[in-house]
Amino acid sequence: MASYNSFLFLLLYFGGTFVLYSLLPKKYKYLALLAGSWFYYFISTRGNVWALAVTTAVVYGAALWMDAVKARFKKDKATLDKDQRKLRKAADRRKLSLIFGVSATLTVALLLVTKYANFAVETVNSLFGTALANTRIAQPLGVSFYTLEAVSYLYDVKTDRVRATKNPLKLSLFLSFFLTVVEGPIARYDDLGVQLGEGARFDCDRFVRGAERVLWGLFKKVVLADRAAQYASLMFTDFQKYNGAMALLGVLLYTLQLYSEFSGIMDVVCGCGEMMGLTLPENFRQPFFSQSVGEFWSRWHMTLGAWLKEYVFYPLSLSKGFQKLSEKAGARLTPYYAGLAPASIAMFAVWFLCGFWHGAGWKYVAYGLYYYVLMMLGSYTEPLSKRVCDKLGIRRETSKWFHVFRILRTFALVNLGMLIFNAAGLRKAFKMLAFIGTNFFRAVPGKVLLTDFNLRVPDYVVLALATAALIAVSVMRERGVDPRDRFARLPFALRFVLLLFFTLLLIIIGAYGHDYGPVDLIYANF
Amino acid sequence: MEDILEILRELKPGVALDENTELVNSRILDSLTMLRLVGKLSSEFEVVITARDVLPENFANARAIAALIDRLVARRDDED
Repeated sequence: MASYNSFLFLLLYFGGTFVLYSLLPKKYKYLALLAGSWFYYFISTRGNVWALAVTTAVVYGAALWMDAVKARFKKDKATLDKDQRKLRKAADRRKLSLIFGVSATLTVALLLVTKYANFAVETVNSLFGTALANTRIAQPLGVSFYTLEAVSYLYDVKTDRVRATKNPLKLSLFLSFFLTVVEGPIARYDDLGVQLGEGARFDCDRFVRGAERVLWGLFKKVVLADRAAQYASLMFTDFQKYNGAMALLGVLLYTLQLYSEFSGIMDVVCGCGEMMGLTLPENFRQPFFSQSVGEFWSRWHMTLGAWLKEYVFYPLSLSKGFQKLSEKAGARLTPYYAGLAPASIAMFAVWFLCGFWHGAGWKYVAYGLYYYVLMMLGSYTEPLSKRVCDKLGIRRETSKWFHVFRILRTFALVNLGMLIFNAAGLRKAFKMLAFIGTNFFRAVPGKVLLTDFNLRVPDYVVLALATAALIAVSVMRERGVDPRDRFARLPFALRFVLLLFFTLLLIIIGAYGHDYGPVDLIYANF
Repeated sequence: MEDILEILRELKPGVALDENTELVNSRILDSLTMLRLVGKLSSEFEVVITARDVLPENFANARAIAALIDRLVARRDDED
């Protein structure tokens, strides 16, 4: 697969599609995107397109069927009296739920079979001592992402948020769009789907701004993430050879790697979209300024969080069963806890799914539930925490120190989550955590930093400076200043020279060449 | 409108709120507060708020919530 940060992707796949997209009249621009997307998907998967094709066909048919049911009701409405209308509405509602339920189950079943079958086999083998053979089904590229988009489209059609598209090519483009299919962002049809279908005319300003964002994304990926990966990957496998402080640095650098890689790739794809006049949904908003883990998840992988909230959390917690539970709880608990009790069950489903979505393994489930426990602890102790702060005279909303304390606390908890996420299993994660705590200052010769990690002094300097640049840009954004707006105010010639300089800088200090193996995109494996 | 602002102020004491205060993007309404708000709105205005109504645009500010309630009241009356 040509990674989004590779020259092959940027020049051949994106470049080729962009040229075709620019040449075609607006009405037919989506065909250029479709051709580019199919070409990219077909080559990247070596023809393993069956799962995406089946998903597209099922979703297309089911959405049209739901639309037809609603259209028939609208047509017949005038001929029905009030009672008949009520009966027909109830019957139609059941029909819509059935069509949605069957099509969504089929779509999700494809995800489960292709991604989790071997995990299920291994779990059964380890529980019952059986020797079932693994399946040979290859995980389809982007299945975790396009399945969520497919389910959201079905749900949105069912609930009248969008009309089903009659054009199968437009639906196929939405599900297979080459900029989002591998790592997201997870888009919704009424947003990106509509934009893709309509196309956009060339806009020089958006083109330049998009290109700037692509460069910044590449910087995050090839200068920062791929260097941090050199240290972090070895430390997670061989931490016992070093000391706790170095292992802790490994965890911090893994967090840096994951953030700069995932957000960097999002910058690349959003920038490419912007160059074509398309606005892709944002996936990150300075997550490390979060004051709680709940806030962190509303700033980190935002489209996944929004999906889980809109299509799992609210439908579950506002369902009749949960409402009844809430009423029962209301009779016994204070209003705060009465609202929290049923939400806790819906939250469990959300975090279980969030963990499980990330990968076929128990450590991913533990990763999701880790955040569930943290959030529940935070929510259930909220009244107590408020009382304690009031007694101590801490003004939680305005105190700067409290604000900083909460940011640092969240940062520490997120890093602990990253340790669980990246360790080779839960046992190894606990071992590494214990090692950090018990061997923090163990003597280790300083020269290992230069001999073991494939990093030299200039690499550490670049890593530190690039991290400082990343923090500076994040601080600016957090203060409501978009660095690209500032950059846009510079004279055109100066902008051009600076962009050229930045491109050269990327080529010179990017982590590639014979010393570095290409680092695979972490989220592409999900 | 005043009823809605009163409910919001009860749920978010200490937060300055008026009819145009941004509620979703500013994270004044997180998921749990949203659930409590939906519960209070449902009982106060005797409407059924389902998951399909809980969209960011319907809860963007107090005015958007008022418009949603108007629509839901009309839907309820229509169904009655």
